[in-house]
This record gives sequence, structure tokens and C-alpha cells, in this order.
Amino acid sequence: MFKLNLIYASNAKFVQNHPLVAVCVAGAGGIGEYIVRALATAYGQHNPDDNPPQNQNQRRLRIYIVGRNARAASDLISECKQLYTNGEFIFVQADDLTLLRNVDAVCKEIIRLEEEKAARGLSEARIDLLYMTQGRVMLGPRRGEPYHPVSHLCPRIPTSHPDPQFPLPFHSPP
Amino acid sequence: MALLYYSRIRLITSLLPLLLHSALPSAHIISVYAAGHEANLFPADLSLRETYSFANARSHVTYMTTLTFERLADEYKGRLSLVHVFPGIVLTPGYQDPELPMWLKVTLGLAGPFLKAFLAMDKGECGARMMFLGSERFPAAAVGGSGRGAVDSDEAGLKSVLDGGVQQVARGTDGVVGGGAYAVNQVGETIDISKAYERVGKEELKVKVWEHTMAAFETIESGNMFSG
Repeated sequence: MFKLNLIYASNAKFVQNHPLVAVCVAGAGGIGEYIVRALATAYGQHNPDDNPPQNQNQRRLRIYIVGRNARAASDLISECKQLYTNGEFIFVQADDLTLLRNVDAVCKEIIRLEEEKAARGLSEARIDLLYMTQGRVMLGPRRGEPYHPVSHLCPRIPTSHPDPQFPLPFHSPP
Repeated sequence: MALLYYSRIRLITSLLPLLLHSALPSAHIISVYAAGHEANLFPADLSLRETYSFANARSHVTYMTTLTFERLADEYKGRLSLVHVFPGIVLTPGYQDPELPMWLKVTLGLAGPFLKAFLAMDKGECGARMMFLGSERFPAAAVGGSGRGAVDSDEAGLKSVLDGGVQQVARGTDGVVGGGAYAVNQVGETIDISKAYERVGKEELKVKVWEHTMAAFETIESGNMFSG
């Protein structure tokens, strides 16, 4: 068991020694959100020299928050900017990640954004930390036809009022 | 399983070009789900088409994550560290999903306050502990073979690191200290998963899982239905 004070001390040392590019998939809510907030908080607390930023393009912390809920992400980003003004927090809109093509679209977008931002900040495009917390509590039998794994594992069938927060279970061929 | 395993492996393989350029000693990949939950295994039905249940899905995702993470740690020695973590009880909005079965909603409603007061981890602590998994306690596998730092140490080890001592590293799922792929619990301790693989032909299964995963991706990419 690592006591919490040591965890915080280790994290503090980490943020003082390393600028960071992180991707948090499903980062707009749940545990993903807690990770984003923890990163922003730690950088904000332990890097007082760069609050406020010296050079707009040279960021010590960049987090790509991948999620479906733009509003939740926007609230989180506002909060993070307060926690660490030299942090850059970018929302990457995802659709249902049970579909392979949506996963691929997210990756393509992250690569595109990171290459653009790195070029402006005179650094190399990279990812240092990749967190993945996407999932739901899915109890009960799997419903619907046994489609290929990446598309068929939400046990819900489409309702008559499809809610963009809940994924559709069926994959339609491209 | 799509969200918990397949999409996660796809994210890793697609983002590799950026991951391999990490400015850290190595990139760190952290999958938050259910490390240590290897249980029932149906090697002939990896997709669980015949034997799906919540528990079997969790077990399969755990096995497949362990094996694929070990493979990636080995293939990208010195470049990638992969951690699968079980975060314990964290009361997130996911538990307020109106489509949860009634029995669970009732249980959570009744047990909620107790869980919150005594057993559930709070948001700030959870975030900090997850952040810790990106540290060099969980390094990529060493290129020349292992033999770095002391064993899977305890708190005293971490204290000494913070005082400028030698980095102590965790034991990997392959049993090797600093193995590159790790299974960790909610308080950052290594989970010993060796028992789950005692009667499993691990290396064979590792290959099978990888081929299954890649076949799924290739089939779906080409617009067909994957039936493996």
C-alpha cells in the first residue's frame, strides 16, 4: 500500500521534472475526469514559475480529452485552466467507441492536432501518457446479434428515443 | 469488451507513432478496468459468443489485456510501459446510469452512503493514484534484459526514491522486475496473477490472442463481419 502523501510527493516530483502530453480517453467524465483534474492540479501546484504562461505556444502540459459529452468536457476544461493556466486542454469529440471506425477517427484527429501544436511550440509531436477509462457497467446478457467484437458488445438495443449519450449497439457496414 | 479491450488495443496501435516519440524515458499506457480478474477462460471462444456473461467478459478482457500488454512491452522494449489497473470502488456517474438493472440500482441506493463513507475511494485520491501509474516505478522493459532496481518494493522503497535514492520498480505480470507490463491494484501494489496462468499454455495463448485481435481489426477494416 502506498500512502497517499507519498503518491502526492511522487506526482509533485514528476510534474517538476517533465513537461507532458497526455491523452485521456473517456476523460470528460468518471475516472478519466479525475485523472485530467489530478494532472492539472499537480502541474498548477508545483510549477509556479509558469503561471501565467511565458510563451503561448510552449506548454508544459497538454491533455487531449477524448469524449462524447462536449458540455462536460468544456466545464472540465474551464476548471483545468483555472488550476493551471499554462496547461492546454483540448476536447476531441468521439462517437461511440465500440465502432472501430470511430476509434480510428479519434486517433487520426489526435495525431493531426498534436503535429500542428507541436510544430507551433517548436517541439516534437508525441504522447507521453495514454489513459483509457472507457466502459460502462454492462450486466445482463448480451443482446442483439453476435456481430464482430468491436461493435456488438453493448447489451442494449436501440430505444425509440436514441440518446446520444448511449451508444448504438449495431455496426452498419461502411 | 469493445470498450474494455478491442478499442483500447486499437488506440495503442494507432497512436504508436506518437507514443514512440515520448519525451519521458518511455511512454506510459494505463488501462483502467479490472487487473487481477482473470477467472474462467474459454480459449476456443475468445469472443465469448457461446458463453457470454458479465463475469466471463471481465475475465476474458483481463486475460487478453495481460497477454497483449506483455507482447507489446516485449516488442517495444525500452519504449512502452503498459499498466492494467483495478481502481477499486469509485462511485462515478456510471453507477447512476438509468439503464442499470433494478436489483443493482436498489443495492447501490441502499449501500451507497456506506460505500461512500467507508469503502469508496474519493475523486482526488483516485486521480492522484492513477497519475502515479505513469511514473518510473512502472518502467518499460529494459532493452538489455532486466536486473534493474530492487524488487516490487513497499513504501520504504518509494520514500527512498523521493529522497534521491535508486528508482525502485514494480514486478511485471511476467514475473520479471521491471518487466514492462504490469497489473496493479487500487493502492498501487502489484497483483500476483501467476496462479491464473498455471494451467494455461501462456505463450501459445499470447500468440492466439494477438492473432485474434489483429484478425478482428483487419476483418472489420475491410468492411466484413468478424466471426472469430
